Amino acid sequence: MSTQAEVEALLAQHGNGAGWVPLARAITKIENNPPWDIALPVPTRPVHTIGITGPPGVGKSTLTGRLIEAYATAGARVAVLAIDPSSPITGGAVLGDRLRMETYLMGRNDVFVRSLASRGSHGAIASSTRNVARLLELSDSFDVILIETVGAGQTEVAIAELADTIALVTVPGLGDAVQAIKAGLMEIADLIVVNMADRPGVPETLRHFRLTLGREVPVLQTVATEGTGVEKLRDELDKRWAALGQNGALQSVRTRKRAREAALTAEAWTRALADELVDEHDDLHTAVKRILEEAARRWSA
Amino acid sequence: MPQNAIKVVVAKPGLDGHDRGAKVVARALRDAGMEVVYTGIYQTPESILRAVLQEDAAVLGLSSLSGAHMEYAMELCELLRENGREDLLFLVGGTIPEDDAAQLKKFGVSEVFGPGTRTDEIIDYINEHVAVAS
Amino acid sequence: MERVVADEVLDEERIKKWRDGRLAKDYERIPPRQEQFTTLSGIPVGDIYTPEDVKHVDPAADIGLPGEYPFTRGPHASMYRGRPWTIRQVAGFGQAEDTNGRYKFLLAHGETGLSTDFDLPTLLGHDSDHPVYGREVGKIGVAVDTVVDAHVLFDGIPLEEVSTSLTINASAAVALAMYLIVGDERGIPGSKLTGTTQNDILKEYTAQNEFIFPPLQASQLVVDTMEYGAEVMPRFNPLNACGYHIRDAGATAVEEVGLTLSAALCYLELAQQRGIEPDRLAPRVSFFWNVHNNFLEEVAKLRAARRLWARLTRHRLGCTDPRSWLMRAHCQTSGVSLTAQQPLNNVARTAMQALAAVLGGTQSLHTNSLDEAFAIPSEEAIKVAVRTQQLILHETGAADVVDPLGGSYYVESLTTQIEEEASELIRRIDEMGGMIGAIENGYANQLIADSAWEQQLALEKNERITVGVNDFVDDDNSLAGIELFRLDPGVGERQRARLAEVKRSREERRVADALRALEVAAHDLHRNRMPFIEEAVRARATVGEICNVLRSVWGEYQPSTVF
Repeated sequence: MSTQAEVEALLAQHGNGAGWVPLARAITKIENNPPWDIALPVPTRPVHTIGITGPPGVGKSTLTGRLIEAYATAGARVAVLAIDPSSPITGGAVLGDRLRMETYLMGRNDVFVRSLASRGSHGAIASSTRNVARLLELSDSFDVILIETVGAGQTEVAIAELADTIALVTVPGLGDAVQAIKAGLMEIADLIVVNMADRPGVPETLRHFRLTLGREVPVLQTVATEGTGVEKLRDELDKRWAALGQNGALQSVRTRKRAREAALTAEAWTRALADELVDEHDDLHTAVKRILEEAARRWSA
Repeated sequence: MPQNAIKVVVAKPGLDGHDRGAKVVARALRDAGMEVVYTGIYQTPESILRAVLQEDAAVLGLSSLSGAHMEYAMELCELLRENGREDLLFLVGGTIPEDDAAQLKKFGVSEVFGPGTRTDEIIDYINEHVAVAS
Repeated sequence: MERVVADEVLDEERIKKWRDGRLAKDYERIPPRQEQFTTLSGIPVGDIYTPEDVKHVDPAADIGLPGEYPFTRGPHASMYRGRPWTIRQVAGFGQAEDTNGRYKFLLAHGETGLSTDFDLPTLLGHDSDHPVYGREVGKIGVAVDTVVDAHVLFDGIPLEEVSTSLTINASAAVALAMYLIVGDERGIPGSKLTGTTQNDILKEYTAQNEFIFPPLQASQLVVDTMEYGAEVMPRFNPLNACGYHIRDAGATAVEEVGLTLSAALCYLELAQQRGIEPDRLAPRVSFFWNVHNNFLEEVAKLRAARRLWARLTRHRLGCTDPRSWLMRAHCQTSGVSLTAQQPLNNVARTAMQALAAVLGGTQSLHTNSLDEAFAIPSEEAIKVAVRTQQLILHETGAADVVDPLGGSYYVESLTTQIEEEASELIRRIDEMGGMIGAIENGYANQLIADSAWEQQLALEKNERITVGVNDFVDDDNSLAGIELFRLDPGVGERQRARLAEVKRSREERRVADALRALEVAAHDLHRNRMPFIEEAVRARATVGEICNVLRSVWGEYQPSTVF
């Protein structure tokens, strides 16, 4: 059975009331196979997929935990994908986000949390993560999907930008945390969350973002450890989802992002091919020639 | 980068706070290329089950140094059976006397690792006994 | 006899000559056993130590005399020539009467002070009828729900004569009140009670994980107990600043000293901010150290800790009372060093660690039992542990001279080095805002986790040998016929029944009023909560009820996520 078929079968099992196990298994299948082996249908009932990202140490997992609580209390069924980097040397990973969210999950059997290690190239993980989110949409078991990543590197940007809404989390002050964001995340953020807003430096930070991003990008304040501002964040996210629901806005956002996803997948495919074929003795001309020939051969097969 | 990796949940049930061993094992498993979800301390059997099911873990490592290992491990064996995950490689580590270890294995625990276990023993055991998912 | 005069002066040049000549020749014949010799803190150990190595150590200012600042040689002048250290074996399991029985056994066998271990629900502010944690009742310590249990625990024990150490932290304030009230209800005034509550909450966040509330609120509660103790139980030590757990969690000897003294400073400085002079509280701060495997390092560590604390209290806190400078310590042999393999070896390990504690000048000592790697000690094993201490006292002569290793070139050199490195660690922690800052930013946890990892690596790479585990291995795991202790499975139910009875017969109105008053007081971090806790305990409120009130006001601390 192809990966595609296996995933569909597991999804069906879950749909028939078999619980988390087949759904989790299906996610594993997506994780363990290249994104170009899977082509999930477009969900007929789209679910708000929210990317939560930002530099380390800003309290993202705590904030995500609180947000889960806020959504679940309002009756929404929540799914969370928490992505942590794999060690480039050993290939292993310690997936620590679940731990940080767990206090807010205690006793909640209705929230689905899955930790994913960012294996492979940034293009591959971004596409795979999108596929996992798509799978969750197709399952019809969730009303909101949160994707949490750490950092501002290529991988995190790639994963985040495929979500419908991207929330960038930072802390007050104009230090490293804020400077780190400039590397690519600023441009794609749909809203900014200044967490730990009980610390000094909030007014300057708000002004900084207003100057850099303009007034269209909402900037919110939270104190995740106390839960302050989280309901407002949820409401702002819901407002944005409602707005996307008007006049085909979601359609156009998703189409644009699907194009981006396709580019990332293509890049990953080519990269995998290059890793496979290119030899340390090859010069550029030889390398490209070999890739093009093999690519053509495989694609027509 | 390998496509597959062995997913392990390392958990500490109940009120026992001795996490030196659990953390050392988590780190060692990561260095051996596995993906480790460490649930932290103060977990209940339900929260551990939920982690195992949602993470589609191949291995569960339960760490207990407070004498309540029998109750927690046995309850988890039951829950895993009820939820169709008897295939899980269920390992228990900590201050477990030999008699208890034998009983645990009869009940469904795959292996018990007592004090002084080297991390490479655990890693080898997992590599030998886990059928890596594809 | 004629005095022999040496041919050459024993100076740096002469020693170098010896090293490059005679020593090098020895190594040519017989290479050194290891490439590098280090203590467990990673401090390099040289081949020989000479007067050159202690040139910078001042015999008057740094070494001094016992009973005098900076107390390097001991807190008291006569030390064990007068009063031996207290043999204080921790005991606790099942219900209060079970532990009471173990107390009497130990006292009959020569123990001279009591020490109590509580079960996890009690330690973490839960009652025995907790729907989830009830299964842990009585397993690793005694179950105490109300002061009624405390009465049973100390039944038949003359509290005005015997000192008790209560090994409890997050809920220590409740235990302290219980001890006072048990005495009071028996007609023994607080001023006659002696002993300790461990009550060092800061080490819980980094090492033992037995916390409830967030660090700041919990530390303020510690200050409450210290202030209260100074007033109503002036001979009792409300705080026992601990290195033991930090060490067993993986820290090095240097980290053990640095982190523990930082915590002790934190409480005293918080008190200072509340207008309480350190001199009022410092004389009743006691310490609890680990005694681990590297014999000489442990001796040096205890001496270094004493000297560093004396200097910190005098110069940093500005204490003028010499009793504030004086460190009194309890030691326990390292639990984590015990092996399940060839458990009889543990008797030898414990004996050597205990000897280090004595040569280091401890005031009280717990020796681990050989079966403690597996279970609560059996009677046979705990007896051997007690005898070990009696052997040291009566058979080895080690207790007949005060600080016999003082003046040893190696020990003095190492004492100074540990003091310097620990001092440096304290300075780094200061930069983070003190111990609470070092907890909140994860620094302390990461430090300990990294040391634990390093030790595991050294073990697995066979860079360090643990006899019976990575060398001299065989199949012998026998306990020489010692039967492991098994807890009676009926304990939980019996305790729940007793708790139900207490709840039935107490005055509910009084309990409710007391808890409400405590809740109000809890909002003011500079107000002493102890009188309110005392009233609640008198009314027979439970540990869980009291802690739940505090939880509702202060919240619960989320465990560290550091690796």
